[in-house]
Amino acid sequence: MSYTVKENKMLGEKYYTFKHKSGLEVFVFPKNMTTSYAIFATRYGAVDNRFKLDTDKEFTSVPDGIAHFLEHKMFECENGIDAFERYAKTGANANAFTGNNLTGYIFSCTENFYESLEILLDFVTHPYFTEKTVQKEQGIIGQEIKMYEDNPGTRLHRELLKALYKKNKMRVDIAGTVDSIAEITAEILYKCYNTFYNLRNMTLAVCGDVTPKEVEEICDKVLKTAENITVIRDTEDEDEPKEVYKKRAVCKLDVSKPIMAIGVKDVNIPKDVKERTKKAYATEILDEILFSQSSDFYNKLYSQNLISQDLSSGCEITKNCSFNVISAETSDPERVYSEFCEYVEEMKKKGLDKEAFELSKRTVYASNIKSFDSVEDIANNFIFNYFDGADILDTPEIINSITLEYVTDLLNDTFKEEYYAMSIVEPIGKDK
Amino acid sequence: MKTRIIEIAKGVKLNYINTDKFKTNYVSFNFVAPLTKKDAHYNAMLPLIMMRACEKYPSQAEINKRLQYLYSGDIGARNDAFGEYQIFGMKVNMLNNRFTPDTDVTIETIDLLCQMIFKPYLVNGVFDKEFTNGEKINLIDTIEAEINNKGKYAIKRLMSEMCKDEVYGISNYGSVEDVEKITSESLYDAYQRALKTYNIEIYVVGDCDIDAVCQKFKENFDTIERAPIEVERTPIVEKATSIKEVVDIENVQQGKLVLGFRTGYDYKENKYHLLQLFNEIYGGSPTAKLFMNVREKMSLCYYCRSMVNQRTGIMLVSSGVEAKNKEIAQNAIVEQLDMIKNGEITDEEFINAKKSIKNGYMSIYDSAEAMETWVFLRSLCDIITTPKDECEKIAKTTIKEIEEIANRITLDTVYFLKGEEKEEK
Repeated sequence: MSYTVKENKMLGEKYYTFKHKSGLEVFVFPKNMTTSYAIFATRYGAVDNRFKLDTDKEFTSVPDGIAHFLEHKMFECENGIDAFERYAKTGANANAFTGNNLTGYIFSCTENFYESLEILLDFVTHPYFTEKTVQKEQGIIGQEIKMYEDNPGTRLHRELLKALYKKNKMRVDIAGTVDSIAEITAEILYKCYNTFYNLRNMTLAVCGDVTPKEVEEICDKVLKTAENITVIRDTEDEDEPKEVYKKRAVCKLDVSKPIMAIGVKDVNIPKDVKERTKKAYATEILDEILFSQSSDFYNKLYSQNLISQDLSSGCEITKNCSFNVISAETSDPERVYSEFCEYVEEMKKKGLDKEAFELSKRTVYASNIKSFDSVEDIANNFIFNYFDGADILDTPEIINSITLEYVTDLLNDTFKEEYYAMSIVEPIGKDK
Repeated sequence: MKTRIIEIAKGVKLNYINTDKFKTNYVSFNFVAPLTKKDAHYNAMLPLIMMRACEKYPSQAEINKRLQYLYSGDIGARNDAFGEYQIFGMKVNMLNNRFTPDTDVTIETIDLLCQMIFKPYLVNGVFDKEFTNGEKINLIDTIEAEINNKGKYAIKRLMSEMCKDEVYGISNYGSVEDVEKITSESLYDAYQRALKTYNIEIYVVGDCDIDAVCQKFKENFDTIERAPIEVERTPIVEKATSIKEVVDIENVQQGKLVLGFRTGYDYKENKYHLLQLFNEIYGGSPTAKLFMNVREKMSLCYYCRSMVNQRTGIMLVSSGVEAKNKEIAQNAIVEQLDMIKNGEITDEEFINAKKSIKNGYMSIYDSAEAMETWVFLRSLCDIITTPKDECEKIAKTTIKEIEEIANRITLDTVYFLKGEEKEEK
């Protein structure tokens, strides 16, 4: 088979890609590292809780948290030997994760790569669930859910999404709740598996001391041709209002000081993927101008000891959602919020500084290049971007194309009070 | 992983690990101080005050603008406890010059680092009062925020209870009361003490003009009279005499159970690979006994893992469990250890653990920071070895040796961070 090659000479990175006869798309990044890494991912995550095949009449609704539950259960095999035990023989370090829109099975290793790849492709294509194994997992995941409930960072982010969105399925907790996972049965797991773990809905990306030819040989050995099915996902969440659903979300946990996150909701998501990527990186540059340690805002709050060391920002802009988050630990969230609103309005009036823009652009450019120092980051970033339609090898050029004017427009269009919500995690009063 | 060691000044070494596989260069500047109750909070403050301002860039904004200009080398503070040592200073990861044609990022970033360390922002010969107070509040926040991460907090609480009479129990942040007493003057004294009397280890990992880098550091030490002090060793407690039980009650959903064991291992034995292999079999991986039994078979917890420290010889097992299952989990954890003591390790477990360790060791070569940590911590234990060498030792290890090391292990302290009592249904 011949492979398509894509290269970015400035970065010194390239990949080979091919569509395997089974229907699976494969990407191979050769990289001179001791570790090699693979991610086998499906376009299926926490948001996919209502779906049907084009041949079905009705939509099927499934319990929240099922994609994550399924991820756990995939590691068990019919012969009683779980995937971790199989990997143990090759020495690979394996794991998996579930996001809003994808589930990824990963391993890294410093030897026996192809044996491990064979295990990966094999166990993810061979589900095995029984009522008994499902019950056992309800105990383990129940503990995992409780662990996250105690985690201030996780709670802060989760509650923020629930405040920003009224309908968007980003509201769904990835692990579900103790009650929702109690409804899961082996039968529903098989239904989800058969719908979403179709090779045509999946992608394999590997990075390290590997060749496309050998990867293809392993695919030949393990993978059977996938059925052609058409899945329809319920998209009732698409007519999301522009404004935020709730202005405030407050929860109480055992923390020393309040932590807060201001979310900026944006429903204008560019359909064109290059435009979307551009918008995402421009938002990063804008955040760096407005909120980095060089900014007036940060230095004002910091010198008044209103915030602790970090004022962090981050955005997520994909096909399905677009929001920007600024978070901090502070003694007075409402005061930081009003300072934030005032500051942004002032910046709009004043206009952005050319020098601050250039410096911030350097920062974003550099952090992107740094992400190519790890086989894991390369493959994971590739999958995250690819599932959204983008290609990481195009990123440096897209960042270079961003201008001060573009970023200024972004500031004026997205930063408006009606698009802000704030999530706060407050300390539990000790004296009760 | 060859390390070239260059003497910069008395008690100041630069360690250069040359590799061209990264797009970045990593540099760390580390004071190696004795961990003491008297100074820990000062040492924790020093990187913070250095990063706050310096003579040439007298505000955080100006420092950060300079960093952004240098393609955002991300400078971070370091403050770690390692046995009797407190290692503190700064580390920075910067782009290799080949991606920054208009700027010599390597030398300029190291210059900035040196400005922050050697040319601090002073008012009347001491640190600025306002900056000192600001950083004190920050450090106090950090100490108070430790409780936010329940798993880490439980480990720290265990260490302070288990090692009440050893330096290992001292927090590398100090206590809130200690931090409150810091003044601009006393902080400046601590700064002088650090520059003059602590050993300093500089690490450079990557590919750069190392002579120019050394020159840059040497210039800065020219005017400093160095009289380095040695760090005293704490005797290793070989065996626990009785089991201490400590329970804290906090508002948590899930309890955190931490068991502290004495392994009696002394780093002078130079057999850390045995301890690591033991740990891998016991609770260091998803196929370890703890994971397979306490999590998978008994379904008691989401995580249950063990870790060993080469310097202190202390092993910890930490787990998140519900209060009602605490005793069952604790017994199961001890029972799995007893199995290893009785040599109940299958050939399969043994071979798998070896492979898993090898995988972990070899992947160190792929991270500049991991390489630094490997060389640095071992050099503090007078050990020079590479991951490859250690893999060979692991390959030759027998089950008998693991059984022997397991039989030296005794349970010292059990710590439980418990949720507030709710009515059982």
